[in-house]
Amino acid sequence: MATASSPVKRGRGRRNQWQVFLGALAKNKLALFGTTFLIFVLITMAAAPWLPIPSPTRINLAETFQSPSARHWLGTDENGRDVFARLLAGGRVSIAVGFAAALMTVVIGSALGVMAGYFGGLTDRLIMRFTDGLLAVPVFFLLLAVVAIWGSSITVLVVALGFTRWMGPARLIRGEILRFKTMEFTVAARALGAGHVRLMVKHLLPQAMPALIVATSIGVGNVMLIEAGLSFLGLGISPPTPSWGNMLTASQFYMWTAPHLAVYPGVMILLTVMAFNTLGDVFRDALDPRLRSSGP
Amino acid sequence: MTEYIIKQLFAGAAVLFIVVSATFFLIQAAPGRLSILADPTLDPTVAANIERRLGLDQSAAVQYVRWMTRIGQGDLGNSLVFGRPVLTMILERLPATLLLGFAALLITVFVGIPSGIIAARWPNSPLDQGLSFLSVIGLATPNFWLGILLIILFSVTLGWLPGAGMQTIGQPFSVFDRLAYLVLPAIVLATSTTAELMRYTRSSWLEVINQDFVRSARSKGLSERVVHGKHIMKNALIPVLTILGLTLPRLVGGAAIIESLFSWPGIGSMAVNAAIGRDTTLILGTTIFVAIAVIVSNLFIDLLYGVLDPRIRFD
Repeated sequence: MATASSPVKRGRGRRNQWQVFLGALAKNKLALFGTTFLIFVLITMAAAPWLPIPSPTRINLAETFQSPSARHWLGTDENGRDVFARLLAGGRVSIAVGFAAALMTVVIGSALGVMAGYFGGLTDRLIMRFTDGLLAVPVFFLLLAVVAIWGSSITVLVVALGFTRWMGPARLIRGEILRFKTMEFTVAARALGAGHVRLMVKHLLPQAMPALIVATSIGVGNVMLIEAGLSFLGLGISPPTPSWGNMLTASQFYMWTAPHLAVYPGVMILLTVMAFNTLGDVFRDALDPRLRSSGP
Repeated sequence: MTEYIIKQLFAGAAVLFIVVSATFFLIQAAPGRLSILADPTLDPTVAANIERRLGLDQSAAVQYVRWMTRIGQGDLGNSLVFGRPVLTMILERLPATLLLGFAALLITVFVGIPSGIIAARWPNSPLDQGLSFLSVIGLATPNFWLGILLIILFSVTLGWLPGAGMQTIGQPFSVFDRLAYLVLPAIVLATSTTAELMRYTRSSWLEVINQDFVRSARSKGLSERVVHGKHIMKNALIPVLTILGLTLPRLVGGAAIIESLFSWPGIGSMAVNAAIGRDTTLILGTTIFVAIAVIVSNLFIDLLYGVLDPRIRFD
């Protein structure tokens, strides 16, 4: 009886959580809009190879600054490249970098956050002092220094962003661990002989999953904004690889002749970042209402 | 109190130590050699001379100790490109950055806090919803893009405000002229911090509203105006101060992009140019300087926080 009922129960529990998520999403109109937009963009980007659009890097100096047409859906840029194709290709790069770097911040942040919360005492104080300290450092300058010394490859960007933006996730996850470590399941696991590592990785970290998801979602937005800024300055993703940030670099020089070129990439960044930020809020509301009090 | 100050000073110094050490390891772990030494046409004896002068022939440990001592003495070295002392170059450009940062901070405080209070005063009203919509947009907008749009609108199309620089060339200094140049970059720099401060003020305010002493004040028959203006205000704004401390590094970091976009002659645009020109000493020196400046200002905010809220124990 007990064995027969438990999988059913678990299944219902899962569906409920999914329903709670959809319910929270339906209530937050901006998040609903953002998520729809994001899904639409991701599908279009995935379908890009089969769409009747030119290559994003094909230069055609006979067709510069064209208006939207059947051939060039959003017109062409200063090198006669198709703006729509570049938006799709650039978005792939920007979103991928954002996601990779956000994951990196969460991995580093949770490692430190779990250790601080679990061990407490001096370890906790040291880690949290360092976390707060780093929050007070304008990391953008540090990123400039990293890029100046190491060059601006995608790997360098992801690693550098990961190492400078982990503080938010670390604080969030530490709070969660502090809550769980005194609960019965932790005590029981310890009584059964689980070691420190096993307790942290197998028992405590999975409980902090909602916090991890929230941190990742909000992290993608934050990191994408920084990447866009660096790429805009010519210190992030470098041409000919398009990214939404570096598409804006060129538009800066054609503000007089082709101001519309400045619009599209910016709108894409704005909507994508908003989608991830509001999605983070929805996850927070749906997965773990207690996280709401931890501020914006 | 004294003990608390000493503790905070110590923590600040520790973070600085780590940041400066990190910058050192950043250089040490860098791939390849200094760009000037990588020039294949460079005479090997000249290269060796440069290496000796920069101390690059020493072991990493010796270089580390030297690096830390030098910076501890306030010597940030010379710019690789310009050959001038980094500290001098920073101090020359600091006033411009301070002006821009201060203007943006004023906008952040005087727009962010009042709009957060208005939103919390009438929660879920159309006004609150409109403001919260604006804050979501403000937090998701790349500020440099907003800058480009504003330049296109106000400088290129309407011609009302200048879009680059700090003053009209060839004209004597005037406050009005300076303000005209300051408006756009300051607004752009303040966008995301204003949105964030508004959100934070609103939630802080709403948290205080539900507390017992507010109910007591209301049950005494005090008007909503007095309850909000006196009782809630005092308690809700203190936590806002902390977020203001976290705003500083974001303003300073954002200044790098905004100064470059608006050709504002501050340390932010200098740092960006140094990064583009691979001027390692200049960019590292600026990073260290900025870190010190922000950590020190945060210490002041911490102290202010303690003075304003006697409930906070300095332990």
